Amino acid sequence: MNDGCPRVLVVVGDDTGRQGWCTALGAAGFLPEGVDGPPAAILAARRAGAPPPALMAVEAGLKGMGPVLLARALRSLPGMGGLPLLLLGAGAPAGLERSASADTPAVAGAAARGLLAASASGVAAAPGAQSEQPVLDPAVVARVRAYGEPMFQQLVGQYLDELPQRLAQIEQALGRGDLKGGGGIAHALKGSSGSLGMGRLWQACGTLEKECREGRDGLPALAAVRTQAEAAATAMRAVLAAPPAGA
Amino acid sequence: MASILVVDDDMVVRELVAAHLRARGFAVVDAPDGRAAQQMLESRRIDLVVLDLEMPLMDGHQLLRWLRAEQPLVRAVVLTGSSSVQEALACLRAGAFAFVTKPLVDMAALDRAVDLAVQVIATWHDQLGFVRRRRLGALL
Repeated sequence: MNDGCPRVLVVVGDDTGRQGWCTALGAAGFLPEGVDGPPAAILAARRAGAPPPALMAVEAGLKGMGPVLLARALRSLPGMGGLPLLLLGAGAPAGLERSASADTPAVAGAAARGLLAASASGVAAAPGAQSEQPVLDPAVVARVRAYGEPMFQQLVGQYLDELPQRLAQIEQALGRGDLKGGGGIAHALKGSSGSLGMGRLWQACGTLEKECREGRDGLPALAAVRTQAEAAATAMRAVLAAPPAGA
Repeated sequence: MASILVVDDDMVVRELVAAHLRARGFAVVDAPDGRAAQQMLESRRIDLVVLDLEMPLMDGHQLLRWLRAEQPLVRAVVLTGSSSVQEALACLRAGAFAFVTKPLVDMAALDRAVDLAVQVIATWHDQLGFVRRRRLGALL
């Protein structure tokens, strides 16, 4: 079915994980070949008659040789000097099989998200439903706050000050039909919101960015962004007003 | 300890990543775009660049190409909100060491990429030192 697609060596020790990544990469347009470790990977890469692999996807926590040494060994083989290395997250990309038949772009996105994802649950959570995301993730807030209270106050304060202006800029861009500009601001807002633990706002910005990229009217998605921005800002202001744990 | 340059036009992400890496003991500097990053790379020793893709003046793809041509020993970890396999491959083919997607809900993925890159850099420096010592030995 994937004849003519670029061949990818999937090196994952665990059977379930390997199968999951093969499914995900197959759905993303590759011809995956799963192997359980470095010796099998080297044999597969050198197999006579097979096209040279276009990519090696290696489990980040691969036992024994490790992904870096394996990459070096494979790249030393004739004709494979520039073979790219994808580092895969631990475990199986749970939930991908279900989405594979229904939504290939979602699988591609999720697979990319898992390239260096910390865990299988992180991979599964990325394309999940909006309700699964928190308005404000307390674990993320605690981590950011741990870098120092003055920095936290300054960073979040500036983010909240700039938020109305960024939303207005998106609206203005969409109003004049500048989908690229609107999508670009939504993309930037997505990055900072997500990094501060504002999961639903991150997801709403992602939807708006996608609408803009695909040339659709982004105003309904912008309304959702505004709603989530309001909720996230309210939650974050409450956090700012409260003293940090242990203070 | 490796020196790291964080390049992102988003102040929140840039400051958070820089603070996290500093807390881990790395020497960290930062820049808001590719052009400013280029100037820093030309004026001081940087081992690793953590860079965003979508940036003004000079974007991440341009910076990756410049690094490959001008500073091939510097490793690059791409940190981006674009999560497609095709984008990841394009970056890896352009010379990126790793591709990590935002949001940084936890820093484990970034840490893993940085640690692997630092491991490779250290090995490379060891090899360089070995070659220099051998050459020096031959001269003496």
